Amino acid sequence: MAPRGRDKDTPRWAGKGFEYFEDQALSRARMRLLVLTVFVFLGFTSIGLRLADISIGAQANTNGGSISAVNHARHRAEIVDREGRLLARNVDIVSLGADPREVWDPELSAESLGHYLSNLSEDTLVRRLASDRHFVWLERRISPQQHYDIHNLGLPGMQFVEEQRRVYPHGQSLSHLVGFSNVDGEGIGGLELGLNVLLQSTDEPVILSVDLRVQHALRDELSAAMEEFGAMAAAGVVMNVNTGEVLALVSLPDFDPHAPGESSGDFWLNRVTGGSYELGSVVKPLTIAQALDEGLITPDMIFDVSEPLEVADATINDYHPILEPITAWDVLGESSNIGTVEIAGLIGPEGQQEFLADLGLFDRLPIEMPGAAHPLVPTNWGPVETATISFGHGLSMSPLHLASATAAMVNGGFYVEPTFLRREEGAEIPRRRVISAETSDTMRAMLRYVVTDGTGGNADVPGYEVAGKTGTGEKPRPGGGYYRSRLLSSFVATFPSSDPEIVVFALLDEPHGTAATGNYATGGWTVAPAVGRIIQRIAPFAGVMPTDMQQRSEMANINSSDGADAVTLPPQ
Amino acid sequence: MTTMVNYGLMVALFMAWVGLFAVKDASREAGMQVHALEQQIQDEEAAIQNLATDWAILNEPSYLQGLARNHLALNSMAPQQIVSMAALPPVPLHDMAPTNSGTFLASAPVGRTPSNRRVGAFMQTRVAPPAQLSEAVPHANVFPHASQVRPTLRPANEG
Repeated sequence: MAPRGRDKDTPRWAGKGFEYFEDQALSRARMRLLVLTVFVFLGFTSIGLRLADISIGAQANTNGGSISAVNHARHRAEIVDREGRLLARNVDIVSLGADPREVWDPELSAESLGHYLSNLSEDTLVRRLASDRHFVWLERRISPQQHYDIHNLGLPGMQFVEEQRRVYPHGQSLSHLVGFSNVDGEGIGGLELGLNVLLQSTDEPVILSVDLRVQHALRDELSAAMEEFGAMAAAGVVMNVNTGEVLALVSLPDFDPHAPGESSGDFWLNRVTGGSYELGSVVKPLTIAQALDEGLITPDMIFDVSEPLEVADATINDYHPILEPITAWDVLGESSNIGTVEIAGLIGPEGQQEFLADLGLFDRLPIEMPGAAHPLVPTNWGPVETATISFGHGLSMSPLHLASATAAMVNGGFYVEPTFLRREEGAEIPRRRVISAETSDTMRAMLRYVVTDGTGGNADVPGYEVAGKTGTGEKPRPGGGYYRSRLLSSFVATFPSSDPEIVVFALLDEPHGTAATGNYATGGWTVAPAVGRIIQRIAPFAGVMPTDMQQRSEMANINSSDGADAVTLPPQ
Repeated sequence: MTTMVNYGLMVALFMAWVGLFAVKDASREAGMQVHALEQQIQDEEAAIQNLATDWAILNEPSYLQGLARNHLALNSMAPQQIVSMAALPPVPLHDMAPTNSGTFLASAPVGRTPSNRRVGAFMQTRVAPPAQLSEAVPHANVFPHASQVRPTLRPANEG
């Protein structure tokens, strides 16, 4: 600090001794030292901080792969069946490309590659490798072995591009159910479309309600029946009556989900959810159940069905005339149209509409499957409509509509919404009461009677107490009226009738009778035997034990305890 | 005194620097190892996925059905062939001949000595460790009712 009041012309050191200069030098040196210390400190601090930064962040930088791996497709979760069996999955597929600028010798490279790429001629390879582009495709989707071999050639400029592809291990078998997706990982059909958002957002496999074994058995038997009777198409669905879980869904013809474009539009129609049919007599149990539930009839009530019935300007006939009076048991057992119409007359149009609406037959099913059919309901619901709808004509519905409604008839009286996703154990099942438990009991007995004493005998499987109803719908003519010989033959079954677990519905479109069926193409002759075989095959998978198992086992034990006729099992 | 402290601090700083370098180096090494392991896990997972897909394809039911139809004399199971476990009559062990598939059949005549019997894989895996499986093991340990029941097995549909 300069002293105040100093003369301008006088120097600072004027009048000061040697000590003054010494003090000045010392203070300057201290100042320099301080500045140096600060700089050195800052320097080391920054080096230290950078060191710490590099040490901690080191991992982020170590991932420097040299192979270009581009992932084109979006993430898409696996689809598995209810037991965890794989139904659809993305797999990594490697494709081979090249950067021609990095290729040293196109001809030599092409010659080496030629040993492993059989689809491309050497000339094509040379042309592509010698082009002046930055990237050329050589072969899409090479096998792991090709990948390994070509990688080991060590050719410069080769690029392996990883892509994802959706694989459906069970191919056609589940094409309508699981559906398919495109190369961009977007669902296009079936549950791949219906569950698209879920599949793209979850990492966990999506568990369907389907059982692969049941699916296979259903498809196997349906395609056999379709072939045997020369039918145009077939459809079938297996459902748990208590939970509404769809265990199997088959619509034939089906297609290859890996190449869906190769099939025409008809192959794409899912007849079980997207088709709408006048199903015929399989609807009769609904009419009978409503009349029973409202106390309008009892099972033992007698009906006279000997004469054709005139309703407004329509005449109702039976397939086979029944001359003597019959009970309600036989109205169902012999599938009498006249008897059913008489019962529908007791119900009336309003009551019938209310009941069928309650069974969800007027609305699209609230299912995960896209393209669910809207039932075709007549605009004018008069006495004629009431009469024909009571036996399944004049109201179109999808097979899944009918399966769900029939499940409600036999499961204690609850309508359960069908679903394609597995219900968690203990989860609340959305359901509503449509008929009383007592009516449901009666319906089980009556449907069992159809199989033991009526038109459904061909569906019986000893031990599983099959109950069911045949259906033979005539296909409507485009101009009105019906074709007499173009039939939709069907069968709806449930088992075991004492405590039903499963409902099976199967349909053949325009089957032709054979010598073995006496040329009959009706549901009882064509579809019922197939349904019997389906039930025999799927019951163990569905966890249904033969009801006479205990009895047979006891008999076996009694026989074996006398020891006289010990039997040896044949070797395998 | 101050000089000594300064020297001490310098040495400490140097040692800290060496220590930090060592830690950093070790962590880099560990990081690379982690990366390599992650890569390996990823590869293995991809391989597992491919194998699981192969497995699913080879287990395609219609494929298996075709194989069974062509190579095995098997039919669809009839309901009469299903019995409950409890309903099976107990069978003495020495009348069971183990087969290759692990199932066993009643085929040996009564009274045959157990000395020349093969011990089936099913016993080694299900019943007791091999060391204890000698002829001295009483059959009653395996099937408590063995001594009281005549050795018979019959097809269920005979009843």
